[in-house]
Amino acid sequence: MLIRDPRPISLLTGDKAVEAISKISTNRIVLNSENNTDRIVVCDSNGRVVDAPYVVWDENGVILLHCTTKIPEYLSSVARTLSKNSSHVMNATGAIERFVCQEKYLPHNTGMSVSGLGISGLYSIALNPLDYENIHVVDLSAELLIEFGGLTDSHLNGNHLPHHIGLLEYVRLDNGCYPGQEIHARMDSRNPSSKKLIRINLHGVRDINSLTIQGHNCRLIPEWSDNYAHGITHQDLVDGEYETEFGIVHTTTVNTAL
Amino acid sequence: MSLLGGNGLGLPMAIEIEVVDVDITVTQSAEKAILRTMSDDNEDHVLVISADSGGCSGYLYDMKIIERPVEEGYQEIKIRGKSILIHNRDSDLLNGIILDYKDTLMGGGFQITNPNASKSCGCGQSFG
Repeated sequence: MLIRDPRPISLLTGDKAVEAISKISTNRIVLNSENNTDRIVVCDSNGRVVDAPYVVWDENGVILLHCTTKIPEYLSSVARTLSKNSSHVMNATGAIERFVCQEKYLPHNTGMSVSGLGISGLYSIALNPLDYENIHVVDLSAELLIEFGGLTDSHLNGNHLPHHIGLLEYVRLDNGCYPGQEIHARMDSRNPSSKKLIRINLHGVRDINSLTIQGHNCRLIPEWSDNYAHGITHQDLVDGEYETEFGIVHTTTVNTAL
Repeated sequence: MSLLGGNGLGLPMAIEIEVVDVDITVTQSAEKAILRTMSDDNEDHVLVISADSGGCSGYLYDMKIIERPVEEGYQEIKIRGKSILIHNRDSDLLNGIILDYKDTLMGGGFQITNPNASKSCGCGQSFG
């Protein structure tokens, strides 16, 4: 099954595009025809994540596959910078077909894919697949993203550190200044994060904000699917089935959020 | 390889930028530093001050000495025969800045005080 992903896609034109987005990201990306995909994480000045787009190299520029449902505001400052070099930020939504699928269902003929994402690294992003007429296609929803270990607007509302929502691997403090860098640097030196993102099967329990699992508090993100929720809890919690005040729950770590 | 196709691209993101006549203040110490730094450069070289997206607070100052750009859209300020250029796209962000130079071992060099900034980072290189 292919899941059509309607979230916005931007194209940044010109040879300054990689530098421009690296300056606002938690990591400096290296992108060219050989290393053609990477990911940036954009935070606010409090170090909280507002977007975590995958970045794809293209001969026309750099393509951002946003994780937000609306085109993010930070692009306007990037557009201002690029405009000084006759480069632009263009809306490429619709010009590129973007899908999510399980690795094993990845179409053979795809223009580009990013693999090893989400729950247990099972999921992939496929761009411009060919000959997929015989594959069942549905539209991506926030509920499906929760099931796959993906980020929704509730993860990207400026309330969560990258360390807590499966994006720690993209925080590299050798990138110099970026919005939120001071917060991340202070955490790194004084109070390293000990939390992680998990997917929880609550077996039908709804409308709770937090629960305790094996003595660890788990704060839930307010976006649910029928079966699952996401929570932020202590990194020592091992994936498994646990008895809690709300009954039996099953937890799975989200290592690289989709 | 290009991934683009399908229904075509949307128009460039519309950004409304007010272009203003730039007026900046260069302190005596900054003036001396500019003259000293550019003393070996020929007349084609100019000092470009710009504000790019990035840094801790949203925008990052950049200063570079380059050959006079061929593109139009720059405003020129003359300091004792040396040219400082500011792009029209940065005019609303950089109008009114005070360019200073501090000769200290820690945190020294050119410093910019910006009346348009509502916040700035500790090192002074970024503002928002």
